[in-house]
Formats: sequence, C-alpha cells, structure tokens
Amino acid sequence: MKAYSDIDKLLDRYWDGETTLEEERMLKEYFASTDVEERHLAAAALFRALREEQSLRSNATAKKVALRPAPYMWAGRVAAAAAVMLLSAGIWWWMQSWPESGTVSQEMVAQKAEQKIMKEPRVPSVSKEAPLPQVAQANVQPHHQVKKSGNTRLHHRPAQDDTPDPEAEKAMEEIKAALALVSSKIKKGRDEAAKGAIHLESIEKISKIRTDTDG
Amino acid sequence: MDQALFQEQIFPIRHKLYRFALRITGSVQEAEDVVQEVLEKVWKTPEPQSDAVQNWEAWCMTLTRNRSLDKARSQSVRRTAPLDGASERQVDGASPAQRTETSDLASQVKRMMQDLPEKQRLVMHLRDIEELSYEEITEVLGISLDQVKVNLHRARKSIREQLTATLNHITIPS
Repeated sequence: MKAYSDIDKLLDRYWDGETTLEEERMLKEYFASTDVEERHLAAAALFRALREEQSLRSNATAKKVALRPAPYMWAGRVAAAAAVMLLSAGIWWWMQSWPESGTVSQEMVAQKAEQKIMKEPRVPSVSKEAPLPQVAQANVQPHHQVKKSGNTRLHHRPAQDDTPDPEAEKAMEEIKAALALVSSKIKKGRDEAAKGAIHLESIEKISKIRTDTDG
Repeated sequence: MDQALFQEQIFPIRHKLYRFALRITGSVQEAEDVVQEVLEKVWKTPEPQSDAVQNWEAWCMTLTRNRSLDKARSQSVRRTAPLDGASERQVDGASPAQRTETSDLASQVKRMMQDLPEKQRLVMHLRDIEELSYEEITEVLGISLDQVKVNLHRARKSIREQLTATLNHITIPS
C-alpha cells in the first residue's frame, strides 16, 4: 500500500485528470480499506460514491434475450417459404386459368355463331322486287312454270338448295368473328400509330422552333 | 450473433450498460428498458456485421448512449435526485462518525455528479465508474481525446470544489 505522501501526490494528479487507470484503481483500493484522514474526507466521499455506483446491477436476465432464437435466423426461412408458396400458387393459377379461358372464348364464338344461324331463316329472304340472276333462275325453275306464271320470282326452290350446310355456316361465322377481331386489332394499331405520328410531328415542330430561336 | 459469443462477451457487461443508461436517463425503469433493447439489438445483429465489431464493450456502450439519450430527450425524465438502488457499504476502519459523514457526503457526491454538464457527467462516469481508457471514451462518446481530458478535468475539479465547499460549510459551525 502506498504511503500517505504518495497518496497525496496521487490525489493531486487525480484531481488534475493526470492519473492512469492503474493509479486510479490504487486510489479506490486505498480509500476502500483504510481509515480516512480528515484532510482526505472529500476524496473518501468521492471514492465511496464511485464504489456504490459500481455496485449497481441490472435486472436483465439471459432468459429474456439470449435464449430466444435470433429472429433473423427464422425470418429468412419464413421469407423463403412464403416465396415458394407464392410461386406455386401463381403457377397453379396460370395453369388453371389459361387453357380454360381459351376454351371459353372458343365456346363463346361458336355459341354466338350458332345463335346467329338459328335466328336467320332457312330460306334466304329475298325482296319481292329483286330478280334472281338469270343463271340461277334457269337452273332452279322448270321451263313450264316460267311459261305458266310468266313470273320470274322465286316461290319454290329445290329441296337440296333450301337446306344450308350447318358446318359450313358455322365455319363461316367463325371466320367472320376472327376477321372482325383481326380488323378491330388492326384499327386499334392504326389509331395508335396515328397518335404517335401526331406526337412526333409536335416534337419536330418544337425542336424546329427551338433551333430557330437559338439561331 | 453467435450464442456463445453473446454469453461470454455481451451479457456480462449488462450491468455497465445499465449504469451508463441510468446515468443518462436518471430513471431505473428507463435504464432497464435501454439495456434490454441494446442486448436484443446486439443479439439480432447478423453475423457479417457482428464480425466487423472490434470492441464489443465500446460498441454496446455507444448503443446504450444513443438509446438512452433518445429516451431522455423524448421523455425528459432526467432526474437530479440521487440514483436508486445503490448498496450501502461501510468504510472499513472508519469511525462511526466518519462513516456517517462520508455516507452523507457520498450521497451528495452522487447528486453533484448527476448535476454536471452532460459531457462532463458522461466522461467522468465512463472513466471513474466503468474504468474505460481515454480511447474507449472517445469511441463511445464520439468526441476527441482532448475533449475527453478537458471534460474529465473539469468534472473532477467541479466535484472537488463543491465537496470542499460542503466540508467547509459542515466544519465552520462546529
């Protein structure tokens, strides 16, 4: 243990903030175990306060913190599982919906075409004033009937000409629907191109104005 | 973070973190909350980031300082009363009168320390209670070495002057 004279010197250095950690530990040890002289009362009070402060303890326990698995460890696993589930659900949805929607649209086209055929009369409606083409007339009407009635209008057609082929009609309707779709797409594309051209034209005008202004 | 590392290096310094948080917030409950939050934050630190930490104690103290200052500023809970929970120890070899006197004085010293300006208070705490080196203090508080020395000198000088004045006040009537 240091002599009192050394303690005085050490204390002076302590108050000036010039002591090392080791020297400060020596002072703490000295004032913790020795009878205090009156001239050292201030220092004794300080070192006692420091000791008491050092004895303060936290109530934190390892159970509260360290024994739980680190969240980042399972967070990654949960994220990976969620990604796999989402991906699976997406694939399933795509596989379920894509072919079904194609079938539906085809069915709808076919149904529509069929409905249209059913609505139309079996015999094509021809206006009373409209004369038949000569070739057709010649083919469909016997000569005596023409002579008898003197009438070129079609009242009766042969049975084989009255019944249209349903398959051919259906196919025709489907072709019509497809062509209508293609036509609408082409029209839409044309409109977009026109818009783009207008936009391009306006840009050219602006750039021309700027060039003129700069020049 | 690795559990073994946490148990060996982080958990044992929880009392230091608590005392430092208590010094800043002045509230036992707030200090406990800060310790809990800091320990959890360290525990959740991913491996690559935790591998880069050189001085765990200084890093934890810095986290504690930041979290405590946030709490203290947001809730204005800083107290000037002496810190709670201090165990009362008797000075070995001292007479009963001296023990009473130093005990009272020690309580006053705690108040004096708590009333110091923030930098002086924290520098003195880290040096005299937690026994950190000057370099560690610069790291924890984010101030220069000169600032650490100046603040420590001023803090001790202020305590000494206040103590001397208190002792003179006590001794004059007697």
